[in-house]
Amino acid sequence: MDAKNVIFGETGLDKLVQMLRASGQPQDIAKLVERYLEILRDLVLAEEKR
Amino acid sequence: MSDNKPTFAGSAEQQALAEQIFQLMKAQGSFYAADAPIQQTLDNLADFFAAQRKADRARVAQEIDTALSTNDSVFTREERGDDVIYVISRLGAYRPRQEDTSHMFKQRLYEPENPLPVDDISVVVTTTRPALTTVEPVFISDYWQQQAGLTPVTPNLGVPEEEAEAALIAEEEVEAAPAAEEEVEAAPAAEEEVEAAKAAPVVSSIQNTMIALPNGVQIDLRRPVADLVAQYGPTLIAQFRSALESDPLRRIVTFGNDAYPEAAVETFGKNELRRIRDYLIETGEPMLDSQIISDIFYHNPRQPDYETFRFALDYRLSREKDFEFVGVEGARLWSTKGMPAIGTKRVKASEMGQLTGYLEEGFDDSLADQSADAIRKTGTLSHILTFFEWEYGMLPYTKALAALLPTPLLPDQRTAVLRFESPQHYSSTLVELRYPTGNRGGWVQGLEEFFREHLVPGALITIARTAEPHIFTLTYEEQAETQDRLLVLDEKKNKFAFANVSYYCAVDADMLVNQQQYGRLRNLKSLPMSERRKADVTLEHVFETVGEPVGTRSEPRYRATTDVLFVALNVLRPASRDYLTHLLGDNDQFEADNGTWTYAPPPEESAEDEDEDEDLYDDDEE
Repeated sequence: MDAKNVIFGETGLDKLVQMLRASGQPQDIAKLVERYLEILRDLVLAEEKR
Repeated sequence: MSDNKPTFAGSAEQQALAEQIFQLMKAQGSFYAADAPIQQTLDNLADFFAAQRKADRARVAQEIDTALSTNDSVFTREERGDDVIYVISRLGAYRPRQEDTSHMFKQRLYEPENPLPVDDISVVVTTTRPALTTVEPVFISDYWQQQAGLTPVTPNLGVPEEEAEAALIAEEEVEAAPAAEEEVEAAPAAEEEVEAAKAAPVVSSIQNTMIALPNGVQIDLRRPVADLVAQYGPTLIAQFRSALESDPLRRIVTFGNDAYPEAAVETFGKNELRRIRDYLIETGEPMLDSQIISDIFYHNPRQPDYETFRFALDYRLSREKDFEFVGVEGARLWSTKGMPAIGTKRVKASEMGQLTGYLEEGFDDSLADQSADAIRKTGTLSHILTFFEWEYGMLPYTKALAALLPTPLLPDQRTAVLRFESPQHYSSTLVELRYPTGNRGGWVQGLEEFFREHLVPGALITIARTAEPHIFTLTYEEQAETQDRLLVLDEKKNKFAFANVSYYCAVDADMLVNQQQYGRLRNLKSLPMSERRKADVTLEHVFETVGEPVGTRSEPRYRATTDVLFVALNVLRPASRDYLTHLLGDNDQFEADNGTWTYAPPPEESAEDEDEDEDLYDDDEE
């Protein structure tokens, strides 16, 4: 995905929801932000690799 | 459509036969789509015409095949095994439909080979305004971002700037390569990279990893996550929180610092909420979420879904109007409507907020003697009680106290309920911490009974943290019984007076409001709280009462030291020394004079007021 099209807090959120649900219990928001950044990073860098 | 007859070739006989077959097949597919294929075998056609003409079937088949092969622009001939099949459409020759899927919405939305470019949002102009104001990300042009150092300056690829590129790439290489190999490898590596840079658009890939946060800050996703969190941690969390809150689907919900998908959060029925409410009212004080879970829902912390259930309870209660969160991080306490109030009812919360408003105005000097770090490190805070604090069982929420007490867990949290334990008396008191809001100060209330029972104004108290985040100890230095005539407020008469009091605590002699030092305070009017909110008016009254008269009856003047004024002003309302100094310096009627202050009240206007003043003098002289 082109980084210009990334909307922080919206893009890739479904993936984060899945991950959070799979974890089975509430997570600290700071850790969640880190995980979210990793998801965004994967999305953006995957586009770049293509 | 039927007018579009194809033209047939060949001899007249062949043309007639071809047309006849065409009409026959067209009739066969009269309900087909205009461009749908209509098929017929040579065998069937031969059987049909041989029967009609009563001729030899093989010869008829030969004639048909010849006639239709001559008109191959209309009849498509196919051979499938032993069968020969002719295909036409109602329009004439059959042409397979070409579906143009290059502009499918699905394709444009999900599989963009080259998504529509968003060149420059600044050129997009709209004349319509949204019905509701929404917070939109602020896009800053590349020029200003480069000026502010938010994005790396991109050299123009059209102009050969090899030196600049080499320097840039060499710099990257230095970071990647070990220091020892730096000198040996830098030059060849730089050369290789320069060539690579010419071949591939390195600069554009740097830009492609920059994303904009809703507040306009740009972050480079190429950097390690740990680095981004270290630099932008609080901003990222704040922006992420606000994005979650503004998500119309509310996919992830939060309570405090915990987050969980809304769809997986358990719901509670009205009956369950009523049971929680009844239980809280029956207990008479706020309760921990863990206690509610164990007592009402019989959930065990060892159950695998315990934390999820706990989150669900906290989140759902926070959405209910009847419940109020009064806990802190590590001790999630819940209160409900109809529970007994904590603290004095003599002063309204709005009035107390205004009385302590000076703290929010920047006159908080509580950290003059001990730093916030020291308080946090030691977990203890010492404080000398003033008369107002003692009388109303409150403590202003100064920076020093804020360093010791927990911060609110929720963004809109107004209060927290804490427990102050007295190891000297084996007792404990519930206190309410009111957090500051806007220009209104915060305070702790609910210590009225403890202060009255064990302490006097001027007593030195120590508040200390315990292992529990919502429990603190309140101690003081005990000493042998001392008797003194101390200032008290006679609530029935609403007057101040001195009365014999025995106390057993160590006091600061200057702050002890006894008759010997502050005898004039018995003339202090117990002003209503609405008057006490006006600090300047209150100070004038306090000065007139406690100050030493140095003027004449026609031109009265009063003199007092800052220390005396500080104690006296704190009888009527809380105030810091900084705030007192500000009030004295802000009014022209107060004059500094060698460490003391002189107050010259404005001349009286009416005779009636003069009479009142004389009465005051008379009282004083008694």
